Amino acid sequence: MYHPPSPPPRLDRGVDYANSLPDECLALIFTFLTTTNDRNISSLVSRRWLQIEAQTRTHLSLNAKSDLHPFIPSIFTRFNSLTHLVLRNNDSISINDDDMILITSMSPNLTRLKISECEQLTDSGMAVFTKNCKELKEFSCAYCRFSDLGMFELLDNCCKLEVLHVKRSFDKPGVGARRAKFRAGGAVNTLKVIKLTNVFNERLFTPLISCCKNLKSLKMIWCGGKMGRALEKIRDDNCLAEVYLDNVNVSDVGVSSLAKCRDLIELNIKSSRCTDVGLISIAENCRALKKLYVGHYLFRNEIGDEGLIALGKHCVNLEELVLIGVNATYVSLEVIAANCQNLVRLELCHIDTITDVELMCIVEKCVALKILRIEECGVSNNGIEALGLGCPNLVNLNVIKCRKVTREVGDLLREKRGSLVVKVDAYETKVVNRITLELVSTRSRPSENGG
Amino acid sequence: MSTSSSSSKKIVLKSADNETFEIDEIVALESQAIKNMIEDECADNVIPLGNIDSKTLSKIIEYCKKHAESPKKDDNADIDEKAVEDLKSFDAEFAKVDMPLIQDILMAANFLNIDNLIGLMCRTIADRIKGKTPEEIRKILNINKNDLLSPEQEAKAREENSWAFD
Repeated sequence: MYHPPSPPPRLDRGVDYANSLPDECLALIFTFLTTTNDRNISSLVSRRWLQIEAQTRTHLSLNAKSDLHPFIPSIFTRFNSLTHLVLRNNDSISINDDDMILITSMSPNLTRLKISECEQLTDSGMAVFTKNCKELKEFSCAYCRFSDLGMFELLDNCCKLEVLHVKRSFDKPGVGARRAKFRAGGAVNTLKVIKLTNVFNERLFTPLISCCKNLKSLKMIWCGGKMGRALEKIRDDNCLAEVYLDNVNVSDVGVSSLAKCRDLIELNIKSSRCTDVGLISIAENCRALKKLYVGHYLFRNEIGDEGLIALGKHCVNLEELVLIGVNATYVSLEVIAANCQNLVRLELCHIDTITDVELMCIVEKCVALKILRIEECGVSNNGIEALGLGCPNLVNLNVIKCRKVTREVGDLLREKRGSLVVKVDAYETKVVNRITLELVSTRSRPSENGG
Repeated sequence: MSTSSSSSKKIVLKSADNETFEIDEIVALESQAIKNMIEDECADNVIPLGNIDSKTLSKIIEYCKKHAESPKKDDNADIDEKAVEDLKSFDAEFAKVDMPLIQDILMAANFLNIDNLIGLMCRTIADRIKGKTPEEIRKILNINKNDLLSPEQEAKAREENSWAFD
């Protein structure tokens, strides 16, 4: 007969049984405590808890003002298993190079490092502390003052770097930075994601984007100046799967150069100016596209049927399509609806030329469609009502501020299709009472659905 | 206590207070420790569990039965969402017991090596100590006062803690 090896001691009710929980169970309990407050409080329960909680704390966010200095040795001795570290200063003098060098030397397993408002960190500090971060995969900095030189050190020393986020840094590059020759070290082979927010440094990032041959995702948000030109320098043998541009100064030439991205799956350029020329060249070349967000609220009608027909012809794998302010009619929608049979999400916004005729085409042909949003288009109640008959997979319908659509049609649709979530935010024309109107518009503000 | 009359192979578990539980082998296999015993052919028909009382053992069997019956996630990518929901609500109900029993189940699950159950019990304990003070946590888990931090240790830990934020 089998006898289990050394059974744990039988627990006596009412006596210290929590102390007999094996360390690994206690450690697992801590992983379910996700707030810093709960972890901090747990650490005060007992000596054993203090020790095991510290060993299992892999993520730590610290206030990075200079007063942290005397506590660095004890904090980083206690938390010696860190993989994710956030250092965030807030409107005071930050930790300096020496502090950062000590912190990183005591945390050799860091895979993710995020620093924010650490204005005391310099290029020479970067040169030393990045050498301590051999395992780093993700680096993020915001409101920092080191220059291109510091960034070169990072790229040189962190040979496993995959993700780079930069937000509003390099505002005032010194003379040295301007003259520095671009070098990107080992990270050019490993970088997969670059996200830039409020960055105007094309001197550094244009060559970087161009030399990272394994880059999968490029996001630029509010990047002014000539940052848009970086797109033109994207290498021919790139493997970009995702490009997201939000308020980036891109010309049609820049957009057209995305045609080099043969592996592109997701493209969001809805705040960039793009004409039929740009769209056609993307459509003809990026045939793997699954998600496309294109058009502009202000610069209307730069895309028309010609571009959209090319899209429908070539990008038959499209699953999500968001069109804003384009000049789309039945002619192009029919091609898209007929060819893109996997289309599950369609949003048509600010398009006067989308009328009941166009909607009927969607009703008849978009079989896979699950989510449909129509905002400020020329459709009427008749068109919306027709949705009761087609699009068998539709689960979510949003009709926002279409002049010819009234709320009643929403009720009608709900009666016909119980499973459909319908939201009709009608265009108010009668100003009965200003306050009521404001209440209605805040209450019925369309919620973003996914994506 | 005997269970279903199906023709599958049976395993008998014997608790510390000498109660026997006959269960289908497939249910017993939820325990990695028992699975190893069976695979190594060092398990007799009766497996004595001298450190688990009958109250705890019957709860553990209830859990293993339910989980053995449910389709496994890795078997089939698109298993019924309903089955997943069903298992979730079973787990939630299962965990509604007092803290001493939760800890007994956890100790036993740890000994029998039933990963899901260890996770469920640890999560339950975590949920019950969230937002509580150290003193409340000691009371909930009945923690031995011999291991308390000295005032100096506590002050130091608090000072360090104050630098961390969410």
